[in-house]
Amino acid sequence: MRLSLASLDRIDPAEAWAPWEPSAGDPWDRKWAGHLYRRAGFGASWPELQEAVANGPTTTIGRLLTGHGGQDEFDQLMDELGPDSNSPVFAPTPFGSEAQLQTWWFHRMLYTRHPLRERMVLFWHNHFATSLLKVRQPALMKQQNILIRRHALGKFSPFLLEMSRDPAMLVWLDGNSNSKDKPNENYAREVLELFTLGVGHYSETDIREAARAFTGWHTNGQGFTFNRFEHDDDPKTVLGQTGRWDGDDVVRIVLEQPAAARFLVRKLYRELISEGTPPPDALLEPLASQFRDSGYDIAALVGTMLHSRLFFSDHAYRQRIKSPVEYVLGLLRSMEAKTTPPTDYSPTQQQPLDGLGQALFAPPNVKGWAGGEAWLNSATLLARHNLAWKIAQGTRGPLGITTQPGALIRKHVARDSGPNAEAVVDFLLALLLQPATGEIDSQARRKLVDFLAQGKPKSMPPEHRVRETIHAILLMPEYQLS
Amino acid sequence: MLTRRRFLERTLQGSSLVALGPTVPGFLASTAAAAEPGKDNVLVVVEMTGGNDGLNTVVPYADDLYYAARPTIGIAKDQVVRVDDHIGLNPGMRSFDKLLSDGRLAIVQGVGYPNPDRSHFESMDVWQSADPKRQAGSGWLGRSLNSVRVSAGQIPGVHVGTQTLPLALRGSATGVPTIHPSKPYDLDLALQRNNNYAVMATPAGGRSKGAGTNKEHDARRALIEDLAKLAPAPANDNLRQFVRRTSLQTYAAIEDLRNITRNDSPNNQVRFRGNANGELASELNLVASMIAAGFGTRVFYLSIGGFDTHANQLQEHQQRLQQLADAITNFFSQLDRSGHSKRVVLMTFSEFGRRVRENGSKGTDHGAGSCLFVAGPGVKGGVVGAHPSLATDQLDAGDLRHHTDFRRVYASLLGTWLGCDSAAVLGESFEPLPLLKES
Repeated sequence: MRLSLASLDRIDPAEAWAPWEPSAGDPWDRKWAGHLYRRAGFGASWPELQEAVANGPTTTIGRLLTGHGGQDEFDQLMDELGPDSNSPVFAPTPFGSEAQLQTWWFHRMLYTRHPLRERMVLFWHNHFATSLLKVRQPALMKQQNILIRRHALGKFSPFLLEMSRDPAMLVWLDGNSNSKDKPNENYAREVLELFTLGVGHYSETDIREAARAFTGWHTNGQGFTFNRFEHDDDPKTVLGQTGRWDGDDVVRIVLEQPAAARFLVRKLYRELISEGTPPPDALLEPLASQFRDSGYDIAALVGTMLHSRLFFSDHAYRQRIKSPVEYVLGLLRSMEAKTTPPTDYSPTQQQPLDGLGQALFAPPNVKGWAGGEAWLNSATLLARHNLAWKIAQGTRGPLGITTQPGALIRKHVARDSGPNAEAVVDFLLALLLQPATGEIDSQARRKLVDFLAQGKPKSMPPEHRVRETIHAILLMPEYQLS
Repeated sequence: MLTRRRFLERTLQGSSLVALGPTVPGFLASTAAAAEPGKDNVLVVVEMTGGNDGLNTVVPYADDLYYAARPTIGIAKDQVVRVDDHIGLNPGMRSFDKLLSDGRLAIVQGVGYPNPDRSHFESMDVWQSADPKRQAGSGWLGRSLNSVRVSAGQIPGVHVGTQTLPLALRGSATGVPTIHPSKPYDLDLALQRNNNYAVMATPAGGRSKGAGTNKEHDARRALIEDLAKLAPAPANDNLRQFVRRTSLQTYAAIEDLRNITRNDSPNNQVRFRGNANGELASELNLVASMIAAGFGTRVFYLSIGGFDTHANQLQEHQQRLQQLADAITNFFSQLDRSGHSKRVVLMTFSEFGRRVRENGSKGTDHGAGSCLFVAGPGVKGGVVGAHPSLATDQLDAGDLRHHTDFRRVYASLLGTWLGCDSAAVLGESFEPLPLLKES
């Protein structure tokens, strides 16, 4: 079944979230495999695409949800690397000490055996948007990142409970100023407004009362400490429930509200399905019920979304603008780029994400990055263009990235078609964009072929032309979309 | 290479290009009239790095205490550019005479913050973050950029210079690009050194820089533009339309910038008066050209160094101030000619002023509160606030005592001028100063 883009209001929600079945008219093919990998990972290499097409959607989605073998060892190693308590404290002048931390995560995202979970770590980093610019201790930010990874596909309630005790979060939202005599509302407000319910589902009184429940939840700069002398143990009334509540009770009460699942599902819809037309409430309701009834099981929710008919429809297809991280990792993975991961993660000056508008560990404020159209303006788009050229060249420059498109073509382009310009362009489009039939304008394809062939359509184009052609494809408007 | 106009014409003639409609007015708006009044105001901030000697910038020539404190570097009464019966400007700032008489220059006196820090870096951080506690890791302008209105795809803030991004501009959601008259942002099509590709691209006995010629770059630019134009974007697919439009805007903007900064461009044939041939002048020239070319940028940030005048400061300081004043005056003349000056306000600041009493080397050491300038046709010209007293018992450890918190200046420009919620940007509410004309 395919749905057309004009009719979001008229879709039967039950039908939208039912599992998609490939059909003769709409088969499981490279287009849908590429779509799935762009959303549930950071894009796919050619071998991954081939494997996914062969395995079918159910198996492929299943593997994306569970990850591949070797991930635990990888996580253990990475948890030990990166910044520690001896790392320099963040200073807001010239070369930020955030570089070490950012490189550490960037390499985790690039080399992970479980890309979907890493993507969810990025999603939750943006949800619980905490910035090194205020926290200042790289080791605390790293600790929070590890906490997020543990819960990224787990259950939301223990996740929020741990996040409420996370030292970076406590610094970020002024936990230590939250005391019995002078409650600080910062954390309580964001729990209700940004982390669970959304504006309109609580009152200012609820915030004040919830803040009292979190009094005495402090940090000693390394971990959580409960300061009983600063905790207000008198009764509070939060969202209609009265008792001698502490922070854990607030989390429980908040997650009993129907608004919580609705708010989180809507946010995840924008992440996994579409940044286009906002969906009507009715469309999200089945997912919100499922999420609540499952005890806020994140993996189950993500699974339902990824298997759904709506996911494999025009409503979702290229209906997101790639974030800078998705753009960069996607092209590195497609090109099977070789990078030299540093083991010391010492601060370096230039990073792949510089100038693109998504400094990891430094979201602009507690609301996180706005996403969607806010990712692109002339300056950030140009930064993408110029980064794409650096990578397409295979420079071993400051980024330490090597690409070998000639070798990719020799390996993957069928020998019988011969390495002529037409075959190479079709391969590059399939590798980088996985377009639907007719999605790329025929004149655009023709221009790419003419550029690559330079009047010699029958012979293997020179390597530099191949790299320039790849660069041009990476700049296409279609390539900015996921 | 196509000119922008030809590019647009060609683009508009294309059959599948109905969807381009919304792209066009942005580039073609040759006057500000296209936009809603006040919604496209521009703020230009000029940092005077090093701690400008405010007392020799705005000279209290009628005050004997001034000459007593500055026996060798005091500026004589008959030398100053007279502002009123009490103060006059440094003789280097002669070109400000016209801005003054046109009522386009506000001189804000006694600006500072409590418990002033006399370290360049600490105090610069205070001014740039707008946080005297120095806990904010972001800048006041960076934060403002998250709420200023800007057309989709346009760049809200631009840093013009060669240094790293100043703290003032950190903290915006999409980041702020740094450009420079000699290095505007452009598609980087050149080869990097030390890469695999350069080696492979060189045929045996062939060209050594094969892929770097202008002709080949032009072919690549043309291909890139063609691919954006040919990208299908159905009318109900807002995201595809947006990306396509932003791509085309970007290519047009790049070409605009290249034309603006080309040596033979009409914009560069402006005859600079006086000493306005310094770096700041050419940077402001670029800003004026960008504004005239219809860039939707709302905030520009520039800096001019050399104000750390510990020794023999008289002549050098005067030269610096002349570069500053001439560059600013010239900037507004250029904007007057292009018809955009009404929507531009420029402010200067420095991290601190200098000691009242000169030192033993005919210079001055680090001080505290100082003066700053706010210029533009939208500014209510004249002197804002009294000159701080030079009487010994009125000084703060030998420095002028400020009476106006610097964040009141910021609040005035953030609120009325840029249309931001200044309390949200500054973390608390500050009473605006009467710097702007009632509109």
